[in-house]
Order: sequence, then C-alpha cells, then structure tokens
Amino acid sequence: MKKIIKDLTKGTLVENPVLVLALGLCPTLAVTTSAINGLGMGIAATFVLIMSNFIIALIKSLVPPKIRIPIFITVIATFVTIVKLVMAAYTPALSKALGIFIPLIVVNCIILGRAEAFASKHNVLRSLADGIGMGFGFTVTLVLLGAFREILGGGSVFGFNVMGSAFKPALLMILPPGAFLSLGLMVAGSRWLLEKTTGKEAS
Amino acid sequence: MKAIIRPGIILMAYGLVAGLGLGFINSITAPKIAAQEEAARTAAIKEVMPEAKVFDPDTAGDIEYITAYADEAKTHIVGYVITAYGNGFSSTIRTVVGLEPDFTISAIEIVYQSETPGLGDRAVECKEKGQEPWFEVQFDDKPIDGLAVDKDGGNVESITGATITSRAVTNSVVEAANKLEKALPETAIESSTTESDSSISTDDSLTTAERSEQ
Repeated sequence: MKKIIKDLTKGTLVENPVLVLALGLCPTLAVTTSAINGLGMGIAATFVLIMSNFIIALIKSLVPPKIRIPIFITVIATFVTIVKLVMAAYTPALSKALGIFIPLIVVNCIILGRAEAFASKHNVLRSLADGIGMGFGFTVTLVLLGAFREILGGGSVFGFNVMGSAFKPALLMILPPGAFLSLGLMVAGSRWLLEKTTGKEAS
Repeated sequence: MKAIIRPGIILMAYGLVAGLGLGFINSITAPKIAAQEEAARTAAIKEVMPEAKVFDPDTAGDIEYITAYADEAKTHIVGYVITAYGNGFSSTIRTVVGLEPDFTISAIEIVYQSETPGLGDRAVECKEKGQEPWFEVQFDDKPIDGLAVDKDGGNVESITGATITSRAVTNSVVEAANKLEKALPETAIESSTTESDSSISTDDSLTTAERSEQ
C-alpha cells in the first residue's frame, strides 16, 4: 500500500517526468502556448500512459524480450489512435488546436519510458498507479507552463483576460524561445521546492 | 529460423488484436467525425456568403458548387461557393471560397489543414481573440484575376516561413474559381443581376472543349 501511494505521488515533484526526468520535452515545449492546450495534451497523454501501463503490465509475461519494443509501440499507438478518433468526433476544437501533437504522443518518450522502465517490471496495480502519478505530474506541469506563457504572452488564462486592457503582452512568451525560458524557470523552481521539502541538495 | 518466425507470429497476433480494436472504434467515431466536418463546412459556407439566404448545391462538369441566393424565390444570385483543394507542405488544404457573380472573392475560409505548427498553420491564426484569421481576411473583395502571393508578384502577403502553404491556398482558390468560371452554365451567368465579367467565354463549343480537357 505504501508503495502504491509512493507511485501515485512521485510524479508530481520528486520524479516529475518533465522537470526532473526531462522526458517528453518536445510536446511540452511545443503545445504550451496556452493553458487549455497544455491541459488537453496532458489529459490525452495521461490517458494513453495509464492504458499502456495497464496493458503492458498485464501482458508482460506474454511478451518475448526480443520484440518487446515493437509490441509496446503497437499498444501505445493503438491507444493514441483511439484518443485521436474520439477527440475528432467529440471535441473538434481541441482536436484542431492540438493537431499534429496527438499522433506524436506515440513517440512521447514518457510513455515508452514508463512502459520499459516500470510497467514491464511491476504488477498491474503499481503500474496503474505509476501511470496516474506520472500523467498527473505531466498534466500539472503543462498547465502551469501554459498558464504562465499565456498570462505573459497573451494577458489571459484559459481564455479569460486577467491582466486588463492596459497590459501589453510579451509575444516572445508565446513563441518558441518563451517555452525554453519558462521551462528553465520551472525547473529551477521545482529544484528549489525539492530542496526546501526534502532538506537536501537535489542531485 | 525459428528465432525469427516465432516472434514474427507473436507480433502479428498483437497487430491483429490492435487492428480489430481500432476498426471497432473507427466504426463508432467515423460518422461523428463526418458530421463534425459537415457542420464546419456548412458554417464556413454561411461565413463566406453572409448576405445569402438560400444555398443551392449544383454540379457543372466535374465541379461541385453552391449557388447562393438572396431570396427564397431564387431570383437574385449573390454569388457562388466552391471548395478549393491545394497541396500544401504536409496536407491537402481545403478552402471554402465565396465568389460574387463578377468573380470577386467575398471571403474565404480554410476548413481543413494540417500544416507545420507555428509556420504553415498560421494560415488560420488570429492575431487577437475573436478576430478573423489575418491571412484569410486578405482575400476579401479581391478579384480572382491577378490573385497571387507576393513572392509571385501578387497581392497576397504570404506567411513568413510558409510560402508553400500560402501559395497552395492562393493558387488553389484561383484554379477552382477559373474552373467554375469555365464550367458554369451560361443561363446562370445571364440571369445574375450584376454585370457579367467580360472574360467569361460566350462560345459554347470552346467551353465544352475546355471542359473536356480537364
């Protein structure tokens, strides 16, 4: 039970997939031009992550080690395609905004990384917990990053104007350099928080 | 040999299960996706022809177009709506084009594209929330004659770093409009109340010959 709680919570800060493990940086940097895009991408990736961790933990004894990577990719690609189809059918606006990044979840290294490093070695319950925890950490990071960039670069958050009409948005924050700047600040912030809470220097 | 065939068969089994699952999901979502696209297209048609009240789909040769009327009795044609297909950088861009009877563009709307994010997809980018995309707005009230991107000496400002996308949209609009102009039945042009374009061919045999060339 203790292990499961640890698996659920580690993704938020201690082993945050983006800020600490530095996995999946491509979608992180590319889609976080607004908070809502970050949320959409986070939820989509989390769904794929939980489902692929679940299935892979379930079938791990039926997977010959030699061909485990192609099988993992088949499982992941199947769930990504499901997400893409369901999104296009029920939330066309979000599907339009995320565009090419949904198919790219297939090669998001968080998902294959967790399949290889965790789900193929642990039982179904712990793998599910790991998927939920990692997905939560990914989503929170993307929403914070997206909100930060949207506030500075567009003066709004989730589409609501928060800075007033006198605010002149810094367009740079929406452009690619803004993604790197914000991510750098967030990594620094998470390190500071980690040192504060654990009381030791993060390696 | 066994070391190759066995994993191959196992992988095939996984592929088969995945394929069957996806086929099932697709059979549920495909009609929904088609309905969403149709709704987007209907909205786009209204958008490019705001004055029109009645839309009448028609075909001429191999071209599908919609005649837009201002009144229920279909006496006053306000224009035509066509869909242009342009080969962009990474997708076939579909653009709904509203044309006035004298072949001036009333408005265009890109209904499908999957161009490079940050470059080509800026074709549908709005500078501010609630605005029309700046690239599409440029086409408003421009005549089809002489329409081209600035790189080709024309009057459409292309998107920075996405000349292929800009050119694909512009040229496909011109091409689709020219095709329609040639294919339109003459009665439709004569009955339109505004002045007809002098470049419209009145020679029936020529029109047919040109149509068969396409």
